[in-house]
Amino acid sequence: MTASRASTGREPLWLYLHFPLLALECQLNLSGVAAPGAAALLDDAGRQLRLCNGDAVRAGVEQGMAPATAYSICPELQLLKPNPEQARYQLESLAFWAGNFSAQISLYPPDGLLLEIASMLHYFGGLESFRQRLEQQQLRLGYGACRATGHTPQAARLLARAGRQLCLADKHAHLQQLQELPVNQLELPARMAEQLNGMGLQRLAQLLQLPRESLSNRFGPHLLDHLDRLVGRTPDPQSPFLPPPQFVRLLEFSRELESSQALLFPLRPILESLQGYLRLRGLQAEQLQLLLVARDGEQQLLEICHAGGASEAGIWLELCRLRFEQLRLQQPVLAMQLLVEQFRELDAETVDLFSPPQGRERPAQLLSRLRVRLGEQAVQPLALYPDHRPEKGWTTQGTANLEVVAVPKGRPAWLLRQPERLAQAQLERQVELLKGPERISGGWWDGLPVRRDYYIGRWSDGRLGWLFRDDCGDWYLHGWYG
Amino acid sequence: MAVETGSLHSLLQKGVVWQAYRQPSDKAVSLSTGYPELDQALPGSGWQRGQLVELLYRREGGGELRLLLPALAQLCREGADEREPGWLLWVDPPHIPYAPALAEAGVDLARVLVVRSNSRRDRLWCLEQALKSGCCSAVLGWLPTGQEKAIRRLQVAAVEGGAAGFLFRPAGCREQSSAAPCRLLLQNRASGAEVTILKRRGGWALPAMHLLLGEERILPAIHQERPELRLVD
Amino acid sequence: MSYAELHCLSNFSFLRGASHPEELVQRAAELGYRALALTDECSVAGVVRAWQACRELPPGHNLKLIVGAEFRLDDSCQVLLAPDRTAYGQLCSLISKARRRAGKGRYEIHWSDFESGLDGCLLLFRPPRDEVQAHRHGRRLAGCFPERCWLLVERLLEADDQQQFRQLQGLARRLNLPLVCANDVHMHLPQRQRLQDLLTAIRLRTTVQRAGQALACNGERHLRSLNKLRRLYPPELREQTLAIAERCRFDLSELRYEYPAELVPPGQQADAYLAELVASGCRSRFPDGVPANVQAQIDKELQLIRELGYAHFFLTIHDIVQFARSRDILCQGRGSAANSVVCYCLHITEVDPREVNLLFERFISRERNEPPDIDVDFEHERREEVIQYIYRTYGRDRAGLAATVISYRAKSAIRDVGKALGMDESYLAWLISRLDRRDHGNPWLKQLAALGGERPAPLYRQFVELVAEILDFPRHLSQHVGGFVISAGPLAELVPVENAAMAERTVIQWNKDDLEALGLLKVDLLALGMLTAIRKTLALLGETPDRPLRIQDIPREDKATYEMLSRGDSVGVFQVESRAQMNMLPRLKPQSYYDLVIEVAIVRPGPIQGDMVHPYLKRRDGIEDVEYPSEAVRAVLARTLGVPIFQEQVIELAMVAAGFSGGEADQLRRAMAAWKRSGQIRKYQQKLIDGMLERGYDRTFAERICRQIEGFGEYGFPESHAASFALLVYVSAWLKRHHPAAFFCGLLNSQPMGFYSPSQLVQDAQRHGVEVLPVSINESRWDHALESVAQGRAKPAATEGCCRAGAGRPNAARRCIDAPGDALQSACCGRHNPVSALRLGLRLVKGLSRSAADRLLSQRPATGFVSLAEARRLCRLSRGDWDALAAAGALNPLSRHRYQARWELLEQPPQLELAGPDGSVGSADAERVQLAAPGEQSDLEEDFRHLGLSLGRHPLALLREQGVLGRCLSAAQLRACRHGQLVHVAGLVTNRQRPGTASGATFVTLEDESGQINLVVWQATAKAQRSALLTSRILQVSGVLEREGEVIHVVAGRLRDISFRWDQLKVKSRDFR
Repeated sequence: MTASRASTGREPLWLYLHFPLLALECQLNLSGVAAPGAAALLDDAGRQLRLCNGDAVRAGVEQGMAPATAYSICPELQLLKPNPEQARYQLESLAFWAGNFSAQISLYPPDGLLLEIASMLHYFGGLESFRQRLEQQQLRLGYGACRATGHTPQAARLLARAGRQLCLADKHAHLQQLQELPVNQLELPARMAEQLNGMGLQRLAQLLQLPRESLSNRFGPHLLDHLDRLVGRTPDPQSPFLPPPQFVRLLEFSRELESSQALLFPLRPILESLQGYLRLRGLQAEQLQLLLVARDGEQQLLEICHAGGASEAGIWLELCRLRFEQLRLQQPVLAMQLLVEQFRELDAETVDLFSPPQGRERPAQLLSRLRVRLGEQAVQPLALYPDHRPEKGWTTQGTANLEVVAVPKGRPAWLLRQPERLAQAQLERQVELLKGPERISGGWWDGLPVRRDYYIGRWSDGRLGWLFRDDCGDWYLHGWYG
Repeated sequence: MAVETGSLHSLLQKGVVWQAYRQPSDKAVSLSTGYPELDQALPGSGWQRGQLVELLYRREGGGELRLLLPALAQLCREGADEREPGWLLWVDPPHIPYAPALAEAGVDLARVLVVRSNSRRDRLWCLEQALKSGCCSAVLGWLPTGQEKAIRRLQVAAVEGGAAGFLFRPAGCREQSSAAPCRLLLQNRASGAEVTILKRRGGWALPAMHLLLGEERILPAIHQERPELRLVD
Repeated sequence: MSYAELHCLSNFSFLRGASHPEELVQRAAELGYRALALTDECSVAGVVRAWQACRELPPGHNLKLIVGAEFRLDDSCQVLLAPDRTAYGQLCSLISKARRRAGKGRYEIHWSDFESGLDGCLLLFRPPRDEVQAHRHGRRLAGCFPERCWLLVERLLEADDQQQFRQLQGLARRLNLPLVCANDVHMHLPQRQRLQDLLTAIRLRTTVQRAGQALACNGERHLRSLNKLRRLYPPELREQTLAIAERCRFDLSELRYEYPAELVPPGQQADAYLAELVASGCRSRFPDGVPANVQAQIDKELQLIRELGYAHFFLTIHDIVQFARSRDILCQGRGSAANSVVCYCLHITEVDPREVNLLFERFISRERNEPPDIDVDFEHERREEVIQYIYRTYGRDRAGLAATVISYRAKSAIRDVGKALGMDESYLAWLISRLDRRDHGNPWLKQLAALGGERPAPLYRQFVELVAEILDFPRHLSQHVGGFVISAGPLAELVPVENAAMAERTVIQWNKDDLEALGLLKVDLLALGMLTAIRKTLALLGETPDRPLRIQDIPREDKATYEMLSRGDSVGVFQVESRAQMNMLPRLKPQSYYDLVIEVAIVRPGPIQGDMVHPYLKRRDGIEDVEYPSEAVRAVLARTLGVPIFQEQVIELAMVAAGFSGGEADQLRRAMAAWKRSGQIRKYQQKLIDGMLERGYDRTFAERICRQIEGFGEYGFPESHAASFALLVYVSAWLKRHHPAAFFCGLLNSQPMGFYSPSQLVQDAQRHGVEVLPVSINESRWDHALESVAQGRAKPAATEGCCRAGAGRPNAARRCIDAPGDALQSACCGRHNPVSALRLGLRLVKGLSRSAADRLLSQRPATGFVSLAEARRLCRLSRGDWDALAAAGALNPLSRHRYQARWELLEQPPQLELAGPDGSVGSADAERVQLAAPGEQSDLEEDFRHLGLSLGRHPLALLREQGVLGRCLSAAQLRACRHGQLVHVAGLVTNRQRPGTASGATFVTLEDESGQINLVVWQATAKAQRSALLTSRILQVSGVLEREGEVIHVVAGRLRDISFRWDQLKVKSRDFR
C-alpha cells in the first residue's frame, strides 16, 4: 500500500482516536497482568487522582480524589505515579500501529491520534468495513479508545474527546453532532469557555447563532478562527507524524516467561506496530533483532531474517514461531526488545566488537570487555556511603547518590567480609590494644542495628588489626591495616 | 545462531562510538613511592610505570597496602585533570578494599575498579588485558606461588600498556625466579615494617630498611595512653 | 565525688535535644549530680520548666539549676553560663540580639558579639578543629573573659577523641586557660538515641535511612553516670565543673517584674493614684451616690491590692482600656480580677457588681500567691490599634508578646515521624484518616498500633513507639494570641525576645505557663468578633453616628429578651448560638443575668463530662432536692444548687471541704489544666478524698466530687469569665430581640466571626421579619446598611434605624420592649418610623476589591447610573472587578440579568467615543443581542458562588416543587410531629460536628427553606453509611423524631446522598429550554 493524499474531488474525512486512560494503561499493560484490578494514576504532585480505570470507578473512586480518601474507599487500589515518557513512547507505538489504517497520521499528545481516512476508504472497501477492521484490531491493543469521525480534523477530535463513538461519512451529520457539543468541550481557552458559560451560552449551536462581529468584538479573532476550522469554513492543515529511522520497541514483563512459545503472544502487537511503521515509511524489513533479557541481566540475541524483505505482521510472526521452536531458553525471560534497522533499500552497517583491540582503548571499553567475559557483577566500582556502621560505609553502586560529608578517619584499608570472632584467650595472648574505644551505635531503622566499641590492636607478629567488642562482650576482628 | 552480545547491544543503545586512539601524555616514567628512603633505593627514584613490581609478604595486615597507597594517591593527583583518567584496577583482592581508608589516603574512588574473576585463568586474562589496554594507571593483582610463565606475559603486557603493575605474592616465592624487574619483601616488626629490596634494575641488593608505613598517623597515642578496655555502658 | 553537667540541651533546642527539661532534671538528680546547666541553643525557652522540675524534686534530691545557652559558630561551640542576675540579663540580651537578626526560628551570631556586654557571664569554649583558628579565637576570647573562660573537653567516644583531648591540652597550656569537661548532652538516657536520630532527620527534611553522617555516630550524648565520668575524665576536669557550678548563684526566682513607672504621675504613689482613679470612676458609675456596701467592697479590694502590690497591674490595664475608650473601641475585661468593683469603676468591665455578687476574694486571695488575671477582649477588627498603642507607648524593647509552644500532636507526630522513617505521605494521610481521636475507650495510639496488622513489620512497630515518644515535644515557638508582657526596663534583660512570623511582631521565649510559674504578670489582649458586631449595631442605633447607643444604656433584665432566649432563638447571639447551647436554652429557661452566667459555663465539655448538667437541671426544676453536707459546702455551692459548675468552686471546695492550703489548691488548678498530659491529678484525688473523709464527709459525696473534678479536666470554665461573657450574651440578645435589622446588619458587617455563615444569618433575619434587599450597583454601599423602605430608593438610613427615638434614653427604649409578642418589631417601629430594610453591601461580592468599590461609590451619581455603559465610562474598574460585580448580580438593575451584564461588559468600546445625547455611549450591539435570562436554579448557584448567599428561594424549595423529595417533611412541619414518630427529611448539609463529649455521635445540621433540622447520627449508623455522611451536600434522611420540650432531634436511620438530584434538575431544565 502506498500513501496517497486525499484528492480534491473527495469529501475530506478524518478519524480521531482518543485514548483517555493511556497514561494509566501503558503502565498497567507493562505489568502484564490480565486483570490488574482497581488502579489509578496520581497527578504530578501526588496529591490527587488524575485517572481511574474501570475497576476503580466501579469501586467508587473518582478522579480528583485525594489518595487517602481513595484508599479509604478502596483499600486494594493500586496507585501509580505518572511516567510521561512512557506515555509518549506508547503514543508513538500506537501511531505505528495506526499506520495500518492511514498513511497520514498526526500525533496529538498526550493521548490522541488523528488519521486521515477519506483516501483509505477505497482500499478498505468502504467506511463500514474500515470500521470493522479497525474495531477488530483495536480490541487486541489493550487500550481503551473513543473514536469519532469528522469532516474536519477538529470535528473528529472534539467529538471523540466528547465520548461520541461516531462513524459517519456525511458532513451535515457531523455538523449536527457538533452543534450539540457543550462549549466547555470545544477546547477553547478555559477563561473563554468560562465567560461563554457565564452568559448562558452553553452549546456550540448558540454560539453559531450570534452575529459574527459581536463575537469577534468580544473574544477577538481567535474564537471565530477556531470555530471556522471546526465547522470547515477554513482549512486546517495538519503536521504529519514522521516515523524515526529505526524501529525499536522494548517490552518488559512483570513475571518471567519460561517457554519460548509464550513469547509469541506479547510479540504479536509489536509486529502489528512494525507493520504499520513499515507502511508509513513504505519500506520492508530484512532482519529483526530480538533481544531477550533474563533476570540476572543475561541477554540472548536472536536475529531473524527474511531474504526478500517483508512487512506483514503475519509473516514475521510465523518466522518468529519457527525460530522459537529451535530455541531453548537458558533462563526465563523478563524483557524483550525488538530492533529493526535493516530495511530493503538500506545498506547494513555493523561493527565488530570482538576484533582484537589495537593500541589504546578507552576506559569504558576495557570495562565493557571485562564485563562481557566475567559477567556484569564481576567488575564493580567502589564508593563511600554515609553510614556510621563500618560495613555499610562503602558501596559498589558507583557514585552513591548520598552526600558523604566527612570521610571517617583512621580506618583500615582491608575490611573483612564478615567480622571474625576472636577467642578471649587468643585476644589476651596475641593482641595488644593500642587505641580506642570508638563507640559506634546506630542502624536501628533497618533491622541491622550495631552497638560496638572499636579498637586498634597489634598482633604479636607486628600486624595491626581493627577489632571491636559488641554489646554482649564478644570480640571480633573486622579489618586489617594492610 | 544465538550470540551473547549483551554489551554490544547496550553499547549500541548508548551510542558509544569508537574514538580515535589517544596518545598518553608524556608523564614521567617513575612514580614516587611516598617514602623518601625507599625512593632513594629504587632506580629512577620510585616505582616504574610499564613495569611489574612484586611485593612479597606473609599475611594481610602488615602494611602491604600502606606501602602502595601514597603512590596510588599520586597517580590520582596526576590524572585529576584528564578527561578520561585511567583505572586503578584491583584483581581478586583477598578482602574488601575499604573505601573510607582509600579515600583518606587520597585515592580517587571514582577510578577504582574491583574485579572478581571466576578462575585462575580468568584472573590472568584479566590482569593481562588490563595491563596492556593502556587505560589503567595501576593494576593490582594477587597471585600464588609458581606462575613463572604467566608473570613473564604480564611483564610484557605492562610494558605494552605502560601501567604500573603490582603483584602481591606470598613470601614463600622469595626463592623462585620471576620476570618482574622489581621485587620487595615486607616483614613486620614491633612497629612498622622492614622492607628488603630483593631485586632491582641496575643495582645491587641493599640491606633492609625500616619504614613506619603511616603508623604514626593511625596511632598518635601510641606511647602516651592505653585505652580502658573495661569501659561499659 | 559529685559532678556538674554544664553543657546540656533539652528539646527546646528544637529537633536537636531529645529529652524534656523535666526529664533531664530528674535524671541528673537521680545520678547524684550537684548541678545541671540547661544550655539550649540560643534559647532559654526551656529553663522555667527545668526550674519548676527542680523545685518539685523529691526530698533528698538536691540539684542546682544553672541558666545558660550554647551558640554555634563555624564548627566551634560557645556555652555561656549566667552566675548572677546581671549576667542573666546579658545572656538574654545576647540571645535577643542574635535572634532579632535572623528570621523566625533562627539566629545569627558573630565572633564580635562575644567581645563586649558579657562581663558577668562564664564562657566554656569548644574551639574549632582547625588549630590555627582555635588558637586565634581562643586567645581573643580568653582576653574578653578573664578568669571566666574554660576550654571544653567533651569525650563522646568518637574516632579522634584522644587526639582532640591532646590538642586541647596543648592549647590550654599555650593560652594559659583551664580545662573543664562536659558531655554535650542531648538526652537524659542513651535509649533516646533512636528519637534523636529521628529528630535529626526531621530537622534536615530527610529520612533516617538517608540522613547518613548527619546522625550522631553513637548515643553518648546523654547524662552519664558518675562512675563512667570517672573513667572518662581526669579528676581535675571534674572538679572544675563543681567549681564553676559553685560560682553560679543565679536563681530564676530572683526575677521580679517591675512595672512601667510612667503611669503614675510624678510625686505620687501608685496605690494612692489608683485609689484616686477608682474614686473618680465611682462617681460616674454611681451618680446617685455609692451604696455603703459597695464602698466597703471597694475599700476591701484596694486594701488587698495594696497588700499584694498589684496597683501597677491595674493601672496598666486601666491605661490600655482608657486608650480603647478614647478611640471608641469596644472592650470588655474578664478573668479572675476583672469582675471587681475596682475594675467596674475603672471601666475595665461593664459587669455591675450590684447585679452579680461576685466576690473579689473568690478570684484573688492572700493565701494563693497567684498573680491576678485580667483578659481584655477588644473588637476583633481594631485590636491591632491597641497593640500598636502599646508598642508606641512602651517601646518595642519593653513590650513583647508571650510565646505559644507548638508541640507535637497526633497528626503532626504521625506525619513527621512517618516521613522521617521513609513512609509514603499518602499512606500516612490514610493512617491519620483512620484514627478516631474521640474514642476514649480506645486511645488513638492503640488504634494506630492496630493499623499495622497483627504482626506489624519492625519498622511499623518503631514508628508507633516513636510517635508515642515524640508526642508533646516542642517544635517551635509561635506567638500567643494576645498575652503581652510590659516591663520597666528593657524586656530583653528579663527574657530573650525573638522575631515572630508576622512582620513587626516579636515574641518572648516564654509562654503563658512559664510566666505564671515565675509569677510574672501579663496582660491578655484578645480579639472578639462580637464586640465589633455590637459596636457596629450600636452605631446604627445611635441618635447620630457621633453619639452611638452605649452598652450601659441598654435596659437590664428585659423579659422579652429572656423569653426569646428561652425559646432557643439565638442565632447570632454571642456564645449561646451553637447547637448545644440552643438545645440547652429551652431546658434552662434563663430568667436572669446569673442564669446566663450558668448557661455559658454549663454547656462545656467539663460540666457535661463531669455529669453536672442533669443534676443541675433536675434541682432547678425542683425534681431533686438540694442538700448540703455542711454549711461550708453550702456557702460554696449554693449559687449553683449544690452542683459545682465553675472552676473556682472546685478550688474552694478543695480548701473548704478537704483542707487544702491555698498553695495546694493552686497546684490543683494547674494540674487540672494539664491533667491529660501529666496525669498528676490522681495524686490530688487521693488527697481530696482523704481530706474530705477526715472532715466527716461521706465517701459517696467525696467520690462524686472527685469524679466531677476529673470530668472537668482542662475544660473547667471560670465563673469570672462566664460573668463577662454573660453580659455580652445579654446585650447581643437584647439587640436581636428589639432591633433585628440593625443587629444582623452589624453582625454581617463584622464577618467573618461567629458560628453561622452570612447565608444562615440572612435567612434567620428574614425569618425575623427583616426585609433583605439584594446587592445593587446603584443602592449598595461597601457595608451592609439599613434602608427605610417607605422612603424609596438610594437613601441609606444608617441613623434612621428602628427605635431611634428610644436610643440613648433607657425609658423610651423600655416602652418599646413592653409591647408583647412577635408583632413587636413592626408594631413598635410602625409607631415611630417606616420599616427598615437591610441592604446587602458590596463587601459581600467575592473578588471585588475595597479600593474598586470605593472608586465606584465616589463616582456614582446621586440618582444612580442609567446604564452599564455609563458606569463603565465613569468608573474605570478593572475587568476582574466588573466581572465580580456581574457575577454577584450587582449589575442586574442596569442589565436585567447576569448573562446580559457579562455580554455587555465584554464589548470593546469603539475607537471613537460616539457619545449619545445623554452622555452614554451608544450600544447598538447590546440592543441587537438579547440573551436569554438564566433560570432560577442557575441564579441560585451563582448567588451562592459569588455572594455566599441567595435571596431567592431555597434550593430545597425548588427540589420540593419538582416533587423529588417525596414524603420529606420540612423543618417547620417537624415541629408538629410527636416524639418517636418515623419521619423523612432532607436538607443542605450546613454542619457536621463530632463533639468530644457525646462519644460516638455525629451531629449534622440540615437546612431547608423553613429552617434547621438537627440530626443525631450514632456511630453504627455512621460507620455503615460513611460515604453518604461525609460527602453529601444534600442529604435525605429517614429517622425517628425525638422531642424534649421545644428541642427536636431526628435520630438518623437511613442516610441518602441526594446531591445528584440538584444536578438532575439542572439537566432537566436545560432540556426544557
